[in-house]
Formats: sequence, C-alpha cells, structure tokens
Amino acid sequence: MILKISRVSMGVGLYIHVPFCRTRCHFCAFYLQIHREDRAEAYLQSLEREIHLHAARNTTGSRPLGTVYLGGGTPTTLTSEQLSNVLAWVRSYFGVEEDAELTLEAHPDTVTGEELERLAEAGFNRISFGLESMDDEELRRIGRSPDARRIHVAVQLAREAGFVNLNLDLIYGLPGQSLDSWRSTLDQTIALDPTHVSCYALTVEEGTRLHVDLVRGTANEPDPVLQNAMEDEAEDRLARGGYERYEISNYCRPGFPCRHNLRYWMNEDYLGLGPSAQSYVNGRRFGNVDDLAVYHDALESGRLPILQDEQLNSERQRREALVFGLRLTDGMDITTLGAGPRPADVERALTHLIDRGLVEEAAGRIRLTAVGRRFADSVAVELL
Amino acid sequence: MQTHIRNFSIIAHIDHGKSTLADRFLETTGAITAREFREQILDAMDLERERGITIKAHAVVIRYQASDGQGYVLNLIDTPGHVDFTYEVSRSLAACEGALLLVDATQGVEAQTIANAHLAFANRLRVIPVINKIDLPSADIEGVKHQIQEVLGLDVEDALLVSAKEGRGIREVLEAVVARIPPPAGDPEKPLKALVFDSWFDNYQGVIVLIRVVDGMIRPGMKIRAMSNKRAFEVTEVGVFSPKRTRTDGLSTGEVGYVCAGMREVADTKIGDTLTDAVRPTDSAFAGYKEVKPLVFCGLYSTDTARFEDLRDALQKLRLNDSSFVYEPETSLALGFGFRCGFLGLLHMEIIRERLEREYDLTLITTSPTVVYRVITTAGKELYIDNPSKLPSLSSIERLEEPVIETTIITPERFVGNILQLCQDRRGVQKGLQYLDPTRVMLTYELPLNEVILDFYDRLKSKTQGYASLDYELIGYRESDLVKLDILLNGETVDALSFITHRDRAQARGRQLAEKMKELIPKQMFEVAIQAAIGNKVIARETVGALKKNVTAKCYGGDITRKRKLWEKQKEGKKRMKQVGRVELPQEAFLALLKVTDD
Repeated sequence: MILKISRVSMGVGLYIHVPFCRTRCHFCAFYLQIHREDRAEAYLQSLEREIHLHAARNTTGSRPLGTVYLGGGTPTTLTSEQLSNVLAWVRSYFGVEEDAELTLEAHPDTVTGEELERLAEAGFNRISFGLESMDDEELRRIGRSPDARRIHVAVQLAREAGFVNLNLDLIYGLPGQSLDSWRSTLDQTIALDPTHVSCYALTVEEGTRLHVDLVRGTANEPDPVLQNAMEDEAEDRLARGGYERYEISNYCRPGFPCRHNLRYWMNEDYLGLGPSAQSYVNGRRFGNVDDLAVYHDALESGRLPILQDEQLNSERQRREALVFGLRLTDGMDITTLGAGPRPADVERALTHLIDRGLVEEAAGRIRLTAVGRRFADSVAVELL
Repeated sequence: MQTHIRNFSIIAHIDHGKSTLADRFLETTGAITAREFREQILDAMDLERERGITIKAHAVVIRYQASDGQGYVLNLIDTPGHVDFTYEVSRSLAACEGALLLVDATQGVEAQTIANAHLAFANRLRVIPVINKIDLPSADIEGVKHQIQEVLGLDVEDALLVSAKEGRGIREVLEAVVARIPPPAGDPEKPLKALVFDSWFDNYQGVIVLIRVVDGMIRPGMKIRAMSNKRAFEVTEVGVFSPKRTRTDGLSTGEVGYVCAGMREVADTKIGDTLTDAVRPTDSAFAGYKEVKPLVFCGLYSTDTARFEDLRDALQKLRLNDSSFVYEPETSLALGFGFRCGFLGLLHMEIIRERLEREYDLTLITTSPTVVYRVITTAGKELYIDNPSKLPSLSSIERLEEPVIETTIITPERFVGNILQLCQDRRGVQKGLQYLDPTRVMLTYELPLNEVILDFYDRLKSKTQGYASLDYELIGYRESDLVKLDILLNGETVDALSFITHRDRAQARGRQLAEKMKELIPKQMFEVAIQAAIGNKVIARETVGALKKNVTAKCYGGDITRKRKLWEKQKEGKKRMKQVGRVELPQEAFLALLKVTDD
C-alpha cells in the first residue's frame, strides 16, 4: 500500500480560492480576474466576512482544520502580508491542527525570497508551483512567460525559505509538444527533486483560448494516443526517480502525498471559500457563486454566497465515495462503502467492470486496473 | 325530427383551418361559451394537439336557429387528417349526407383535399366548396375556385368565402348546410341499423362507440349485436356530444351520437361495423365494412429487458383504444423478447411508440420498419413476411412480391423535375401528369410501398420547399427482385437491423446505412466494425474507431461538481442504449434506416 493511511485527519479541509492572476493562460477555465490592488482589497474584505459567517454558523461542526489549501488563480498575486492575514483569520476562527498541511499555490514568476520567507514564517509548509513545461516554446503557446529556467530560482528560493514539501504541476499533450520534449520536461523536473509532481493530461475546456482556437481550426484537439504514451512515460520516469503514482494524475515521494487533495478522493469533508469554491460537509455538497460582484453583494448583506446546495442521501454518498476512491492507486477498502451488501445494480456493474478488465478486487480493496485508469470516467458512469 | 337533421363533415388539408372553422360553429351557435372555449376543442388528445393533426374522429351536435325561423340539429363529424387513416375518414364520411370542402385561399387544392373529396363523392355526399383565409393578402380566391372546378368538377358559383380566424362568413356556411345538404333518409319503423364510425376506450365506461343511426332507433336497455362478429351487448347509455357528453333517451333514425354497451375493448366493434337489434335484426349490414390491415411493421423492445411484461401490459391497454394496430410476441437474437407490431403507416407507428414511452414510462427500441412481403415458396405455399429476419432462404423462394401503392402528388410546377427524379429513384411508374392551373401540377405514380414508408414524405417536402402534398392507396402486390440486407457488428448479424430492399437499391442503401450507423454509434473501448451484407457478400464496411481514453485529469472540488452532473447525464443516456453483443447501441441506431438520405 502506498498511502498507508485510511483517513487524512479527524479535522476538516479548507480550500480558499484566490481568483486573481496577472494574465490568463490559454488552457485555464477557472474563475478569475486579472489582479488589481483594489480588487484584491475588496476580495479580502469579503473573504474575512465569509470566514466569519461560516464560523458563526459552525459549518465545520467545531472540528479544527487538518489541511488548508490556497489555490486559484494565483494566490501569490496577493502580498505575503495579505496571505499571512488570511492564515491568521483561519487560525482564529476555525482553529488549525498542530500538524496540519498548509499549502500555497504559487507562480514561479510571482515570488521573491523575502516574500517566501515571510510565508513560511506565517506557517505555510507546502508550496505548489505551476510549472507546466520546461520548454519555452510550449510555454509561449499556452500564454505563459517563456522562461522555464525561472523555476530553478523559484525552487531554490523556496527551499532557502524553509519549504521542504514542494510540488510541481506539469501538463502533457500541449500544442506542439512531442514525446521527446515531454521526456525532457520530466527529467528536468525530477532533477529539481520536488516531493510531489502532478501530471495533468491537457483537456481543452470551453471558455478557454485553446477552445476558441480549436473551434476556429487553428489548433488541434490533444491526440489521445500521444497523451497515453506520455502518461506511460511519466509513470516510468517518475518511478525511476523515486516517485509513486498514488492517484491518476499525482505522484509523490513516499510519505508526501498531498493530504488536502486526498480528501477529495477519500470521501472526507472540505469547506471551500472564495468565488466558485465548492464544499462537501456531512454529505452536503454546496458551492459558491462564480462572480466576484455577486460574491461581494451577498457577503455585504450578511448572506453566504452559496449558489447550489444538495444534501446527498447515504446511498448516493456511498456511490460517489466509490467513484472518487477508485482514482487512488490503492483503490479503496471495500468496507468504506458501508457495512452490508452493496446495492444490486452496483454489484452488477462491478462484476461487469471486473469482467471487462477495468476494475480489480483483491485483499479487501477495489481499484482500477491500468486500463481502467484510462477510462475512469466510463467506470464512474457505470457505478454512479 | 328527421327533416331537421343535417349530418356533415369538413374535409380539408392539414392547416387549411378545419379546427378553427369548427370552433367558430360552436361559438356562433353558443354551444360553448368563450370561457369554456379551448382552442380547437375537437382535438382532445395532447398528442394530436402537439402534432397539429386529428387522429381520432369525433362528432359534435350543434343546435342552430336558421334564418327560416326553424331549429336544426347539425351533427358535425370530424375526420382524421392524415394519409395513414384513409379508411377511418371514409367511414366518417359514410355517416354524413354532406361535406364542406375547405380550401385555404393562399394554398389552393392539395393532395389530401382531392383524396378526401373523392371519398366524399364515393359516399354520394353533397359537397359544398368553402374558401378560407380570405383575409390574408396573398389570398387568390379566383385561382382557388378555378382549381376546385378544374380538378374536382365542382360547381364553384356558390362557393362560400370565409375567414374562420376572423369569424367572417360563418353564418352563411351554417345556412348553406341547412339549405343545401339533404336531411338523412332512413326508416324509423325498420329494425335498428347503425354505422360505427369511431370508438375509443374510457377508463370508467369501457368502450364508447360513435354511431350514425341509419334505420330504426337505439335506446338504453336494448340488446344489440355487432354484425361483423355477431357479438351481442346490452346498451347501457346513449347520448350526444354538445360538445360535453350529454345523455339522451335514445337516438333515432338519422341521428348521430354515442353508445355504451359494456364492450371491453375497441376490437369488439370495429370502425365500419353495423350495430343492429339483437331480437329483430336488420336484413343487411351497412356496406363498405372492411378489416383494416396494418401496412407497416416493426419490432418494439424495451431497452430494459426486465420490463417486457410492462410493455405487454401497455400494448394491451393501447390496443383497447386503437384496434388498427396489432402486436404479437417475438424474439430477437440481438434484443431478446419483444413484440412485432403492425401500424397503418409510419406516423401511426410514431404515435403509438410515443404514447407507450410517454404514458407508460417505457424506453423502447424500434427495429427497422418494414412492409409486408408476399412469398410464394417452391413448395407452392404462400407466406406473408412482416419481419425481414423471417424471410426463408432464397433457395426455397419461388417468387417474392411487394406491396404497391398509387400515389397522388400535387406540387407547384417549378418542382416537377425534382419530383420526377425522386419518384424514378424510388422505382416509380408514372401514371399521370395533369396541370391543375398554369402553376400547379398533379402527378400520379405507382410506387413500391417500401420505397415510401421510410423517408419519401420528408424527401418530397425538402425537394419542394414544403409545397408538395401527397396521398396514396394500396393497389396490390407485384413481383419484384428483392434481397435481404443484413447489418453485422463486429462480424455478428444484428437481426433487428435486417431489411428487405430491391436488388438495384441494395448497394447504395447498404453503404448509406453503414455510414449512418458509424455516425450514430458512439466510440466504445474497442473498434466496432459495421458491415452491410447480402447473404455472405459484404457490400459496405465502416469502422468506429476505439475510444483511447476517457478520464478526468483534474478531479478536485470544482471538477467534482461539474463531473458528477455530467456523469449523471451520461448515465441517463446509457439507459437509452441497448447492448448487442459487446457493442452499446443508442436507440437511434436502430432507426438509422429512416435517417439515410439519397444525396
């Protein structure tokens, strides 16, 4: 077993969406605006209100936070002082477990040594850089600054500031990317010796620049055959470099999985704050509006900016737990599906999936096979 | 009083304003108040309303105070408005003495107008031309009059001009009904003789039958007999629709109304049947009764095989209400247990299928529609084949015959070339070409029915920008060089997709169908080879490439919200798929034959 844990923590996870970037990358479909001082100030004001409201309503049921994750957007478009304040609010309103994982997403271009030191001092103990590629031409094509060497500096500064736990995000199947250049990106990434690497197959989402190019015919859909080869290459090279694949897109040094992200797949609770952030608490899925103006309005008038809200029944919770748990290399413990027999249709679907070689069941655990990992969504549709 | 009864129908092409005119009659005579007024009240069923056509005939009594100072009872008998229901139309007309021939002043005479007018002539009805929509700027009253005279030989000197929409000329029409349509003949002293021209199933009353009393009288408590099958019933209730259902003491000679007599299914008395006094029967049935034979057959299967019995129940219930469709259990290697069903035409098939899905919450697979072929075997036996997979091996077939229809098409002159091409492509034989006026042409063709049921009507509409109209009737069977075309998926024949076609058309049809199937079959985790074959000879091949991957790369908070919605939708979509071997086929793939186009 890779993870050697069956629970992330007794506490709750907290995700904070920081909806600002300096520029929008061509593949990005997340909710964000271009960073401006006044926007950031207004956002922080609303965020504090939101934290306060949840604390007042005790959404997390008095449980402390076991993981905190600031994502975006680019959280480091905010100053270290602003980010430290956010962490201070979180600590005072919710309480944070002593050994909590506190992750900050960062853009290699937006950090200085001084800032990183202050962030480490404030308590952030994990940093995640969006690297995407080591090839300048590939970076340019997706609207990022074509300066791959910058990551070496960023990683070094982070280490000097005291960050040991460090992730690098990569994307494969980029426009114009060859298998060779992907190998090179992988090798250079491994040479940087991070504790964690995420490798995402490029997906062209609606509303992105890439999608527009696709519709116009000036770009092609990522080639799934090439992406599959790239995925194999990633698993191989990262394994040789000492990284274990613990989820479909995630690799880590032993003992360094992203504990916050594990919550998404291990059916554990998380609260999401900031525009467009999603929550899952006590079997209830709810999500914030993805519009800063509406977000501000709601909080100014003392309301939570929740747009959709759904309480799942226990059967539904079990099914979703199964679908997301299967993404983990270890799969999931059969008993986490709940005691008693599985519903007949789930049982039938599982048998069918096992017959087709997509799922395997052994030693009290169910997991996707290597082929099944490529068709995780097809499997999900069968099991929901 | 018999002399003060008028029984009449309105015959018209779709959209020429029949329902609006009927509504105006009801309004003008105060049969319904404005508040009760629902648009087009005669079309009671939702499905009819949605499709804008009348499926079942209905009859409504209108009490009218005429300008001669006397009160008249006008029975308006509505007729179905589609080519699939010709027999029902003819029986409704047989219950009348007269008909209003309603023609849209902006459209002119259409194929259905002519077909129905001929049915009226055949029933010796007094036909009164009524020109509607005269308020529209594009109305061509003189042109339409000319067409009516030219094509139907009707005297148009006293044609009536109306705008049903604006309520203009309505009283004049009612006056003409009184003055020009003769009162019903018939002898009240004779034994009961009543024509059944419609029936439907009511959950509380059982079957309700609409009749026209030809001779004698019918009363509650009477013992009556259906002359087609000799079944006897006791009348429990009679009455009229005005338009609300209203009980009466009886219906006498010349009158039109409904009868309840404890019949459990519509098949107990079919349309065109004669009801008579069981004790003192009439000596002769009303002429013209025939068993309606379904022309188009297909297999109906539930996508969820566990719901076979539900499908059977639903078919049974629908059949209570519609004796013109038939069903019997069949088994398909590909689809399992289902039913072979016969319909009057493709529209009738779609209506039944839609009602089964909508009213009984079923998800159905429909196999390729087929006509009924006649096979003379080498042993001299005669077989009727309503399922292509049941066609005997070629070596045991002496002769194969297919049903042939005579078609009337009316079109603006500029599209004639397109239509000649279409009919020729469909193996048509031209029988006539007549100019109705300098701009409109009536074409008569003999066509094999199997070339018409699938997409002929759609093709005709698209080749004439929607202007052409069509009517047809079956004229018999004719020997033909037919072959069975099979579709194979990954080498396995899918019996539900087999169909019979003319040898000359097989190559093109096979290729088109394989191409269409390729479009309709979603990518699976493996390659799907689609082949079209005649016997062992493959005539077309297409391949649906394998899905290489289907996995969400990022699966965190926001992604989870989006994906679980998407997966939920896909799961719903999967319920509408049928697994054949390893291949998952969507419902539409089974009807791919309907979707292939010639060009």
